[in-house]
Amino acid sequence: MILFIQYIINGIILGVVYALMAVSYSLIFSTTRIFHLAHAAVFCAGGMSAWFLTSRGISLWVAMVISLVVAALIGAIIEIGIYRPLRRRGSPYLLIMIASLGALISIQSILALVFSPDIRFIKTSFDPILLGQIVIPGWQAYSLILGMIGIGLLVYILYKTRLGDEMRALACNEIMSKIIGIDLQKTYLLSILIGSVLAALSGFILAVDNGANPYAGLVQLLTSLAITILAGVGNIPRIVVISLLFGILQNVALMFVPSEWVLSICYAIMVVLILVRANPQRQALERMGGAM
Amino acid sequence: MDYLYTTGALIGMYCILALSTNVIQGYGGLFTLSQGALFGIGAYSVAIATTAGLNFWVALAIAIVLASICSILMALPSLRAGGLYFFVVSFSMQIILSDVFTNLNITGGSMGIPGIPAPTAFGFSLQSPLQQMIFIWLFVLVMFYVAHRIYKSPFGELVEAMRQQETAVEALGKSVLKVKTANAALGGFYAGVAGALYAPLIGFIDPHNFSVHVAFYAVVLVIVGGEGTLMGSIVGPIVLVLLPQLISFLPLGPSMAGPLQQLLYGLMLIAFMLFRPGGLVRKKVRVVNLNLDEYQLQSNLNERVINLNVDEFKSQSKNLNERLGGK
Repeated sequence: MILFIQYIINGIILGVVYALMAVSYSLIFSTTRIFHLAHAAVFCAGGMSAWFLTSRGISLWVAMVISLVVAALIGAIIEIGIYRPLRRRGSPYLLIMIASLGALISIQSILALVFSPDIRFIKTSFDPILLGQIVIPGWQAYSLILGMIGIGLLVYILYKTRLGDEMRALACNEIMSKIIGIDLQKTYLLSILIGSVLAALSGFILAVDNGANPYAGLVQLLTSLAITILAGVGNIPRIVVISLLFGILQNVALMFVPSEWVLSICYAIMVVLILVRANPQRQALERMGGAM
Repeated sequence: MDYLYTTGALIGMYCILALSTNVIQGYGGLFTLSQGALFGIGAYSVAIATTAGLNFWVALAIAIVLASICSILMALPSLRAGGLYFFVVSFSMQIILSDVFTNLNITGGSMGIPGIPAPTAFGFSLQSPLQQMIFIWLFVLVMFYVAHRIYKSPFGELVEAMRQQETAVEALGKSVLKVKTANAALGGFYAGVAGALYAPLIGFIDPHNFSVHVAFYAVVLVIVGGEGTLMGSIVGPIVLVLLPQLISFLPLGPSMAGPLQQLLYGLMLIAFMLFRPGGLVRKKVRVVNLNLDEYQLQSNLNERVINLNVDEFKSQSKNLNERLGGK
């Protein structure tokens, strides 16, 4: 029983990583309608730059802030350099997705060239919190708080500010929001910026927990993508709940199946769920630019 | 010289892999990320069968059958989940199969399978690189000829129609399920052949050779070459195998060369999407030649028929009015 609770607690940190990634992805996908694969690169850029800065003697929290800024810059470069010209040309979504794939491969290999492709660990010391016999590693408590702050800020921006109103309008109907005078390019850029910051936060949490490497991120991105599809784009509470459940599932499964098969089984469950949930009528709506 | 022949053989092998991806992605219209796994199934079946002492040709048949079945199983979800959904599903399949390659005992785990014997054909074993290159390019010729015939046939037209509009194919009374299954089986067939040629050519395989990066590479081959064109599947591999060879002339360590090569692929993808989205060999847009004179004649005729009908209608309504005693 103690072991079970321990696995659940371990699952929560993974769940927070997925939740931040999925929420940020959902924000970007709902406003720009781009299959933003380069998001994974932003994720590992966050982890790698945090590692680089702490290894140069900068304190962890300062490094975190700087790495978030770096990630936002990378997001902005991708948007302005790649997506904007493609969008102006009216490219179909598959083309933009392939360009995004190119951006992902490029950024990851640049990171590997500059920092070498090894796994890097960030040295930290957080005291574990003891609840009876259950040990909560210190970083997990912090990561839960960081994740809640990140998602809370996003919810605040989305539902309480003018920018959030514009983003939701854009997610709802692109043409209509253009007619009522929303600056589309600015809103695209800002949602990619905010999404990149959240992705970098999730990369940072995972990097402190079990190391950063330039080729990380893709598995996390696709997992959170599947979570987003299951929960429905834009439905933040459901995304958070499913992410936490998935993180817990991935850890609790360790009790029943050999560890090398855990990821496979989780993906198999995911495929089945997506097939159950995918609905041809919904896809028809999506093609028409409506809700997803 | 041997180096040149080996490179030539590799290009041929990648041509078949690109053809396989092109069948599924370019012709079938499914953006797939599970080609690495299919390729791996072909390579592993040949490796396991030939190290167990079976003939290369028997092993090839096993590889083709297994890869085709897996390809069909992978394509079936697209009936329900298209587009982005299918991308995620195929990626999941790739991850699952990569895990299978790494964790099963029969595949040698992460150590891989060493010492795969060279294929034997027409009574002698193909040991030298030159022989292997010729052997592989013979395969390329046959495979591309088969693909050429298939996509010229009515079945090819049906696949093209399915890519553009599934509903229309359904409305014509054709089964989308059948067309999709057949096309996926064809893609799996080519992937199986590519894997079967790869294993004896390299002589040693491990799960890294069939990871998600290979799946990306297959997609890059097709995009750079040109989606939906057979020539593209030859041009793409030639460019993408030869171009990174330039990097190996630079004074860099092996740890730098890998990422640099990846960087080149990534930048090429972006550049192609920005400046030449159709790839190097672009698909010809077929223009339907309308015979205008005939068309005009037809429309004139139609007009006359309509006029006739109007007259008839008028006279009839007049009769009707009279009968009802109106006006």
